[in-house]
Amino acid sequence: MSAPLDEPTDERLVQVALAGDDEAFAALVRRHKSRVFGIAARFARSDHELDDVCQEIFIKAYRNLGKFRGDAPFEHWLSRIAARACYDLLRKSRRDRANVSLDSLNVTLTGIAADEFVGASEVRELLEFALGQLPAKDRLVITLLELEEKSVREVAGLTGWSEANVKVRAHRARARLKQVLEANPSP
Amino acid sequence: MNDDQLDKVFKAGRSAKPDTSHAEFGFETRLMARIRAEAQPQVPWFAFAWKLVPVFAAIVLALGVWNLTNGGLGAADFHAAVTGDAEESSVAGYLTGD
Repeated sequence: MSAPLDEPTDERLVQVALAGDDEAFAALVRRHKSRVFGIAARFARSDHELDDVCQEIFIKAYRNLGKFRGDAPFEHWLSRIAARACYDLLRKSRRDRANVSLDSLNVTLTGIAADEFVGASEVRELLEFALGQLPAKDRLVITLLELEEKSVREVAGLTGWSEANVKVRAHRARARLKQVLEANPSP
Repeated sequence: MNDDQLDKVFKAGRSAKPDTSHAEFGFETRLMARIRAEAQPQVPWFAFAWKLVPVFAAIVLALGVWNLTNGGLGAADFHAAVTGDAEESSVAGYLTGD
């Protein structure tokens, strides 16, 4: 996120925060919280979990602020922390997700495929269920590539995987997701 | 299921961008409060003992004053007061053969 001319840059705020001014870090949080919440909301199951994971992300950023070298934008550095925190969250919560029943969802794949009017929240519910059946890495790559519309290169940068690994994992994840969605009974 | 159908699902999922505005409200205040709380050094439990020193000093002082103003109970008097009943009962037991 680029700051207006009269506002200090992210790099400047980082320097001031490192000098001990917490208000500078609060300004960084205000500037970037929407993006972090946007990513984390794709993975969190409740508002409480969302708040927790976002706090973890910014606390990690605060503690590791000295490691920010400034060779990439602060936003990218923060997004990498967010992606790792979300991956950790997925690994922890995957067992619980598997307990959700498809029967409780009132939207079907055929309805979406036939361009019927389907509420956004219902599609999200279906996707949430289907993605919940995938391994954490598959879910992460699908969410970043397909829902957050990141490029393969960006996903590689966020996750620390090679671009080839991202492509292979995305291909497998799509295949697994199709299998899950195909198991969705027609109305 | 073909790729087009899957892309439709993704497209629908993208449009269902979660609204996080209510969760973002006051977030930096909560976060900075947590950071400040975690940054404060942990105080050892015995650090509070020093705060009790004036209380104990006052008690000792009060006992000293009370002791002086009441003529001061000697150690022997105190022992007699405490053990008087026991001695009487043992003497009575000895004389009566109980």
